[in-house]
Amino acid sequence: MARNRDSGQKQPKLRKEKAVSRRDFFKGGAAAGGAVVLSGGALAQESSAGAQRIQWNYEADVVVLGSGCVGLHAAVRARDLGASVLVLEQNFDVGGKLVHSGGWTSLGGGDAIQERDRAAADPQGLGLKAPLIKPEDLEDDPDRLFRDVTDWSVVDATGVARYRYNDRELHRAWADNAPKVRQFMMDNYVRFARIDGTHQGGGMSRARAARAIMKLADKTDIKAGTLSSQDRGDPAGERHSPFSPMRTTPGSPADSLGAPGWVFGGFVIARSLEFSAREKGVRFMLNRHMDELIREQPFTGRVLGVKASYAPRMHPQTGERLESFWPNGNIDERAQTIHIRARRAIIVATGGMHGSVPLRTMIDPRMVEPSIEYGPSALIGPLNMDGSGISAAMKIGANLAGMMQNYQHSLGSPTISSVIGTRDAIGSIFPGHPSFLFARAKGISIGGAGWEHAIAVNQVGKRFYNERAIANVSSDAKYPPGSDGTRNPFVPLDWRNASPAQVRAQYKRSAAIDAALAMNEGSRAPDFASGPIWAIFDSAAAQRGGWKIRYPYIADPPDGYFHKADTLAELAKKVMGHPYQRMPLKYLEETIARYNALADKGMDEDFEKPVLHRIDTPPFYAASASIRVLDSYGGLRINGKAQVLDTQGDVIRGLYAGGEASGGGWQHGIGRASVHGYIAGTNAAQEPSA
Amino acid sequence: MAAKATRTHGAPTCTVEQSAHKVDAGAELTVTVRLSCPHGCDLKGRRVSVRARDNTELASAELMERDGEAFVARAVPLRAPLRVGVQVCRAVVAAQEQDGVLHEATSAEFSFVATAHATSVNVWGLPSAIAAGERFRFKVGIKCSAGCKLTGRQLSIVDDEGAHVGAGCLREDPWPGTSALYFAEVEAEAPMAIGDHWWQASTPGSDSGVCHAAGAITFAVKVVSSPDHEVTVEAFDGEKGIPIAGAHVLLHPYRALTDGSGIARLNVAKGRYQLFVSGFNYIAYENIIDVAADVTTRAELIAEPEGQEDYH
Repeated sequence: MARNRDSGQKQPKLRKEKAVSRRDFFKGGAAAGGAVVLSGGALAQESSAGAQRIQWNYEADVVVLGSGCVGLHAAVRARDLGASVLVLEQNFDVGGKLVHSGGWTSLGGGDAIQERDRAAADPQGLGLKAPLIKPEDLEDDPDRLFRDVTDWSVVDATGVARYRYNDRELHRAWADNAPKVRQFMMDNYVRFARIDGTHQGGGMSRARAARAIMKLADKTDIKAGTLSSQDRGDPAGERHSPFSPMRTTPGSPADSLGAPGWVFGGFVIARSLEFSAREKGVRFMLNRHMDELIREQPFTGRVLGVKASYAPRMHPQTGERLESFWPNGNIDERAQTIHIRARRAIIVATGGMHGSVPLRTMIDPRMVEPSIEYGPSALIGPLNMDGSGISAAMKIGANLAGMMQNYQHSLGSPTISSVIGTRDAIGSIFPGHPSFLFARAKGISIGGAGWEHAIAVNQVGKRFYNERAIANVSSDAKYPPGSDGTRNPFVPLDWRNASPAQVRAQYKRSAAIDAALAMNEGSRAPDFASGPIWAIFDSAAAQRGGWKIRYPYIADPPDGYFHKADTLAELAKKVMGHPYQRMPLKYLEETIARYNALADKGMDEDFEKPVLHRIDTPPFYAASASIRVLDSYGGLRINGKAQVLDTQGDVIRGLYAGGEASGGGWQHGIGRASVHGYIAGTNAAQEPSA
Repeated sequence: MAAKATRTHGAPTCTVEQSAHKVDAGAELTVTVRLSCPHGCDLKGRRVSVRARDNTELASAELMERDGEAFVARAVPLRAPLRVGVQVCRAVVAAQEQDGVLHEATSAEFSFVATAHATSVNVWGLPSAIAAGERFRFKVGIKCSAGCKLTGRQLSIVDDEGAHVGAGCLREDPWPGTSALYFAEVEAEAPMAIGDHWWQASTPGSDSGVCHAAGAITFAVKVVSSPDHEVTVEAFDGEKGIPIAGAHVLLHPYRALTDGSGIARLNVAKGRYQLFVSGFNYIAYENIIDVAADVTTRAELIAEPEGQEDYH
């Protein structure tokens, strides 16, 4: 739905204002809606906050910090319950990480889509084909879901117990609310393809996940669930759209999901909920970063509001501020620092913490390495996953939970990317979306098999592992049983699921990342960081793989993440263009000579890589193979109502959190975040007004 | 009216920083010149001249940038002479009187070594296995450290014993995709002895014009016995049943790529081989095959699961 273009429907109208008093008015002449107010001049509200007195610039019933999956669900839910809602978002657009996810939504507990598919029905007239899952595997209820997501016996292919350490109160609430959230999403214009499995963390015994879909049509219409080709983006044309910056392919076809003519993606949920939020009168203040939470007393009393700073993102060439796809409902506040009062509650939906070295090294001290990539940084910006929600709550007494659940998990701990040559391998965005201006390259996706044709070297130019095993990191213990080596038939809570024999049979964890993060000759005190990782290959490999060594897959002009040279000696020096590479690849020529000798010998005596190809045909290439981490699983300790708890186990009144800002459960993605947001929004809206 | 008296501030302090102390003959280096007056005078705009020992001017620049008390001409480009050896130069700033203040002439000496251009030699395109006595071709490329055009340069190939086994002359244009890697295609005849032979490709140094150092590389020539049988490998997608073009087939030391029909044919000596068939986006297929006659084998490859980057 292009901005300022007739989409065949009216722009969302703001819900009729409730009880806007004479002294309430909106900044910048924005239309009334949501009772988000600016109190200024002589009408300023002052509150006691510790020793200081705060002059509030804005106030709302519920202030939501972040507009990703948690934030959008929380905002719409709280608004539905009559609260005025103001969402602060540090980025220039709404959606956070949700906007470019795959949109696979694992809920269950007998939710409406499970029931729809169990009955082989299509009540919305979407033109769905027959269900993909047999009816008995769709029969579900909250008790079964709760049992599944706390099943102590499940161990995955990396030896990690997926569900054993999940907080029981949290997951009881999660299971009870999962069916409601499915209906809530559908009530807010989200449509789903047939259920085709269960998402990571969604349990072993039932199928619970379906992709959010839109139908390809001439124009984009959220209410009708249609998407224009322009807004979809065009993978063949190497273009993403501002509407849908999805990382793999813009709007992937949903034909194989029982929805021919439809496409799926996280943008469907993000844009649908954003549209609904704006329609209902939720107000958005973009380019605004939450810096501090303000409590009545430093460690006691109710949470009153936030201090937030202006953090615009500017077009790197024009210097103009980047703007959101939809403008309606935005509050364009450009003061450097403002204070915002929450009459009822604040919801921390700020996402994870891997952008913060002090926080992430609480989980894994090796993550002191500064080149580690986290989140889609070009898409969400430099403040992405900065842990600000977590640290701000810690400063007023909040406790943490589940910090160990990041450890050794394929999504929560570092891995080596097979998208190479870009500073944003997680985002992997084509031109067309503003974030490409910062990514500068989509990167070359070589897949796990591509590593057969390249070597990986550390910051001094030495190999460290069988490259062909670099991508062997996925480890899903989920429905259907038997996938990824899990026991089949599967019996819930059965000790055999976790027996040594079963774990031995299914274990397949690659330790490539551990070798990559090891200290080497380039590691220096005091941090002894391991340095960037490089994929080294020759033009023969690029030709065999059909790798596109050109813009927009690599940056033009070069940005230091991809290098080409006539000789290996030159290549070894060129990598210094990378911002975190501190020395030339001292041993590269020696490493390649050894590798070529092993290729001639037909045996990798060093790392047992099964097939080796000589690296000898010029030109030679060095592409950054980023170490990256996707998810945060540790964070603020919350209870089943999504209330943040302090170190004594007491509720911090007026403060809620969810998703990656919270801890206590290992569960990836939309299912976790949407339910947390829904619970937080429900309870925040019902807090007494201060 | 009496003339205004001129005061002297003496010679300003002049210092030089250089980008390198060793540089290829004829290549560029840069120098940064700093000039400061102990009295803190404004020296902006003063001209600095970089001169060789015979007083020839090599470069000049104006001091346009202020850095603390000093005025700076940053990264002044300077080309090293073609002659190899130590080069002594001076940065010179002439005397100047302005507003009744005289700054005397000043200079700073610096030196660098102009070196012979290094030559890097590379060999590629060798067959992975060559039958004894068979003629074969490969490529030899030479790159000058300063990117000189090397067209016409001679190279020679000698075997383990030092016997001449091939020669070449670098072509007019550099190898595609490179900036200045000049190459020749060389034809040679494989030795009769089975096994690995270590040959050397080399290019002599030169003193005429730009001085270039000699360069050489040792490389392996793998000689095998004459093939006995043909192995046909058919690579298919194990789920879709469609042929896989461009799959890599390895029966070490023999290698091949499948054609558009997913078929590769390899002529090999009889024996037992480990077969690897690998394709992009596929898990490699492995098998042991005994070759005692012509043989055809079907390799069904399984597609890789969704990549780790395709998170949900």
